[in-house]
Amino acid sequence: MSKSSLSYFLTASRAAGITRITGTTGTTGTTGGTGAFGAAGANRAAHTLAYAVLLAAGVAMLSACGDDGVIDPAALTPRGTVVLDGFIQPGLTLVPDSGASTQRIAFGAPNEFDGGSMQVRNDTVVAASSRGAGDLLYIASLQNGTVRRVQMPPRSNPARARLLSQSGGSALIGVPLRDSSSVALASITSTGATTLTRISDLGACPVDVFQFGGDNWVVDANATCASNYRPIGAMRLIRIPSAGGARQVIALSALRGSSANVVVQGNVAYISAGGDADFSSFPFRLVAGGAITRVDLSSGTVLGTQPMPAGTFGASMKLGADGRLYVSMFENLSAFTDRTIAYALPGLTPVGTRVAGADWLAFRNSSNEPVTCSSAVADRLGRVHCIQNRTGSATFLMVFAPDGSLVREVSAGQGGVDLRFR
Amino acid sequence: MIWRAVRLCVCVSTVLSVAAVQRVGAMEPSAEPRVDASVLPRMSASVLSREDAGAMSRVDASAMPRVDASVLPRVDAGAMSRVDASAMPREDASAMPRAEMRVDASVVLHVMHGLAPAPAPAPPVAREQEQRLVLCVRDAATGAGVPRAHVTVKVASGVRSTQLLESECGRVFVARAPDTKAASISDAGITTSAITLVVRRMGYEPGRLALTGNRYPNDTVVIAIAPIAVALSASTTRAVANARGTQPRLNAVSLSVDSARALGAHSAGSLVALLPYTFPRSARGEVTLSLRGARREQVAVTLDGVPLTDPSTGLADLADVPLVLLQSVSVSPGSDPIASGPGAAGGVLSLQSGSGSIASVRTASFGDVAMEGAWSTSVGESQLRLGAAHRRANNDFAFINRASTTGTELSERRVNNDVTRSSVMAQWQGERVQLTALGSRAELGLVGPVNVRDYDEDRSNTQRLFVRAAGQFGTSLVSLGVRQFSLRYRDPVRPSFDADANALAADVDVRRSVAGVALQAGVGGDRLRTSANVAQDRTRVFVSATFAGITAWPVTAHRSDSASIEDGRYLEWTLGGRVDAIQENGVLPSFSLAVNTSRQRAVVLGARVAQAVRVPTLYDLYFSSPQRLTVRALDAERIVLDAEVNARWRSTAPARVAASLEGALITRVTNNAIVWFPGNFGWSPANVGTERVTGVELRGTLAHGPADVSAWSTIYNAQLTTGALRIPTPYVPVHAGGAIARVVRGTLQLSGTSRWFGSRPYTAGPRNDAFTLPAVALFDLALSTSRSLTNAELLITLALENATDQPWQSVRGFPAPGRAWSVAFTLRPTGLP
Repeated sequence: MSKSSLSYFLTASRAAGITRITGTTGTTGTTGGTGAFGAAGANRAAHTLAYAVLLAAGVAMLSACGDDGVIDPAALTPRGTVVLDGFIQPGLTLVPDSGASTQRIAFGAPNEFDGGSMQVRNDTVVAASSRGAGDLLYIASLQNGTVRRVQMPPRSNPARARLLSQSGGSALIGVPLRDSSSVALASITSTGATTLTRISDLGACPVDVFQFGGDNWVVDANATCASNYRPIGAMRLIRIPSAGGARQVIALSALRGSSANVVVQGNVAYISAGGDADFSSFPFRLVAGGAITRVDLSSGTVLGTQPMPAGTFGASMKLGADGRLYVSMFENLSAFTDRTIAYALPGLTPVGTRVAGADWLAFRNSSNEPVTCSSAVADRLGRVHCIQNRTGSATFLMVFAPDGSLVREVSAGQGGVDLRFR
Repeated sequence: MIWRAVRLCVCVSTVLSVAAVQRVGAMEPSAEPRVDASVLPRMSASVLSREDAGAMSRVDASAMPRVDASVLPRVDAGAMSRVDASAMPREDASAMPRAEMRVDASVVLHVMHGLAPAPAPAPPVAREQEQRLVLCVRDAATGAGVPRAHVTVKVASGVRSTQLLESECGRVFVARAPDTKAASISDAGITTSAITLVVRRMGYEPGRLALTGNRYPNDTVVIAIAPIAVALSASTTRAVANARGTQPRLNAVSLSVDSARALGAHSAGSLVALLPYTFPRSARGEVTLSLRGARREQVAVTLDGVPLTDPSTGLADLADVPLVLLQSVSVSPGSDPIASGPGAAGGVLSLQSGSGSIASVRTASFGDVAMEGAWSTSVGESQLRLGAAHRRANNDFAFINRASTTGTELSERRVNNDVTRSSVMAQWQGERVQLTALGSRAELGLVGPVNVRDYDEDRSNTQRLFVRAAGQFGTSLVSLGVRQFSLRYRDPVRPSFDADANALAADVDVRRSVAGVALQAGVGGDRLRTSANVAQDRTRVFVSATFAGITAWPVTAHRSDSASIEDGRYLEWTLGGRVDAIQENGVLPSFSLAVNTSRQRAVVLGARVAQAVRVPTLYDLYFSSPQRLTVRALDAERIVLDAEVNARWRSTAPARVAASLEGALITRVTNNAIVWFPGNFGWSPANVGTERVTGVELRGTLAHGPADVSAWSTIYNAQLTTGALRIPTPYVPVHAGGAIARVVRGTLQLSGTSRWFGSRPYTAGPRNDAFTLPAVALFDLALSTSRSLTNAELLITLALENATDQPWQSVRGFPAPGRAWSVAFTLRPTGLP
């Protein structure tokens, strides 16, 4: 076996292994936020051992497995944090665990990019840009520093990109297309051949997609995303059985808005909605606040809803490595102050060192002054990592101890909108 | 226009600055503002450039270089107005009406240079029934021609006649043979000792000139009149020199529309592209520009001195200005806080309205058809000018898509990129009242960036109204300006994205000179309303004062002795201050100081320092955006230092080759720069850091025989520092340059225009090659011919833009057209009144 074919097989096996691990444990769901500095290395070692076993057993499967070609293998050192630069110079800023040096992977040039979120798995990052930025799926390899773009249907208005699982060794990426009531499934082989399939008739504005129990699940914001992003009604969760048959629609009566995202923990899906606001004129007006609804995916029932604090808008969440949900939002529609709330699962109880009289976390800088930041997530130690855009949209990665004190602050590019652990 | 300038340079026999004479007269109370004939030769000689002399030495009409003074005037950057006659354009003398060619060059040379030994052959004076002189009126500050001046010829018995000069030069009836009351006519010419010319023009102090000595029919007399409230050095010589353009100053260059048409220009945007130091940009049909390393919103655009800049966006769309409205355009890099007020941080683009009748039609690639015309007539002693323009273009040009996801280059074609523009204008020019009105309407397809199809149906409809009225009351000039701009954004696919906005600005100011100090005060207001419930209002007032002076050596020289100053040393300075008080921005003082000195005529050294301010625009973003964004409270942007040192050299020795070279070192420091930096949600501009620009500007001209060339180059390091970020100013190339070369053969003119830009960053982020537009060199060709018809001159221009078919973008994501042809026919009535 030549070196190249060994590498080929190894890559394919790793991809298959990762896929299986995710599918069987069901712990990472769609968040991709698995990175905890200490645990990651141990997991990688275990994975590598598994891959080695699979290597011996998989020779006969070589021709059948194929190479994902997109999902990069486990990352090389150093690990660290990935910051998505959503504007000015779109791309990724890689921040190591220590030191101030960073690396950049440009997304946009010479294209548009306006994505606000990403998913990271191993060394693969996926994100999407909307209709105003060319309807594109971005796939970046942190290992190679390369970026691929996949054209989505024109004016389909992608909401985000999710790494999904499929058999056959190809990578599968789901892209909710808000303006065409569908989800695009991009199947990409190791040679880069891309096959686009679409799941249609998915409500008014599909905004997120994930897999559970072998089925695809789609969150429909039920909003006029093709025009003014105003809600038509309550959001819906749509189950698309892999075996075919009738779809199941679960009403999320407490969720309204045009943005939502999902975290799956065990059998429960946590679905956050940003809320409904009228931005058509000044002053902006909050119509309905955001909330998080828990859905038992096994039974298809709504377990409950946790409303966001009054007056807040734009809730978006990530699952921390400490098992908590970290929800970022704007405190109001006037100053747009960033706030972060940590919720303990499964009851969605606010936890952590909080601002007196409020649910959001209290962060303090090195001068012990209160600070705020956006797009936060915690590591296994409960340290909250978040980004803050300062003058000139200069982005800083800030790490706070569980008590809210600043542990680390490092420059992390410009125009940051999301962060994930690598 | 061009041949008038030729004649101006060839035929000048007397150059006088009446305004300056009046100042001298003020110092010497007994002095009547008249010039003794004995002084004329010396004065004339002192203000003649080498090119002038060379031109006059060429008797052969076909070899006669044409000097288009309108191409060159350079208006000073610091309130000192400057004229550059060195910019080469030449006009084929054969294109000039033969009737105007009856000047004996050797005689003129003798007169102009005072070369006593030169033989003076008897002029072929005909005993015409009506004897006329050619009178040219010039701005004593800028040297630019001043059209529509009222001239009164006075004789001892009273007023002989009053007439209006439609253009800057015109024949003035001075005597009727054998009328000996006013003048005697003989083979020796016209004895004009009893004739006084009084020139009045809106915005200028009256000019008075007592003619002395003998004049020959069709001799040209140049009168420079001083603008109201523009400080001029207290020297006849300097004023005259400025007016004659023999001492061009740096960093301000003008271009006449007529010259630009011959170079292939067809719009205000393409006109600006011919100017040095400019960086025009266009994405969706609009045309804006950057100067001297500045952001485009730091450039003020004025029409007849009134700002065109829209208060809501901080920009002026040059595409809305029809070419037929204009006579010339001047670009003045560097802050001009006194004359132009807030916003003129990086420089000023001054548009001057035109005169006369004209008609033009043009057809070009991509379905581009344009027609425009203006008709001028006298109504009593006033001049009425009406005009209209219409242009429609599909702009569905092909381009190479290098950003496709396939990784291959795709040949595509732009869609929804059409433009339809219509405009009407009216000008009323009375002796003491002037009115200019311009209304324009444009419908644009709002094509998006390459690969973004979200804007394929979006449309915009803009309407612009500009009115300027000015009246002269004694020595005070009162002007009123109103600007209205409305935008209708329409998305047929998503009507909920439709948005409307209306911006209105009004200004009133008064100017007058008091004891040599030019004073100006004004009040104005801005108003914005949008369909997104944006309602913003702002009032503002200002006062300014400018004072200029000159010191000449040797001190024994008489101040009115032009030769001693021109050939010796002088130090000229202009000091100005301005205070703006703007609602919600407080009191904002600015100043400007410019100094020029010369030891010899050939070399001039100068320096200038200024401070300026730019206040936030009312709603500083493309307010048609369907996404309503919050607006932060902003502080005014302060240009704490805008400085330059400059030097200019011009060949003076008689030779067949005329050359000039000029250069400047510049720097600008801006605090609290207002820059668009998106945030997470509340996107709007912000005051950020300190912006520094340093750079070098170079420009040279060369003229030899029927050919001339002008070239310029700039090096700018424009960078914003905010925190740890070092951000080059978007779209400002480090290296840039351009050149125009022309060759005249008979009635044909072949010209080539080149512009090249170094790589240009297009984001407000640190320098990154991945976010940089590549360097590009563009080359245009134009072939024009001028045909004399009965009472008209026909200019036919064939142009090839982007002749090498370079794919390029002036704005990231928006490809510019490739090779494009055009044919234009321009008809302009000729013949001096």
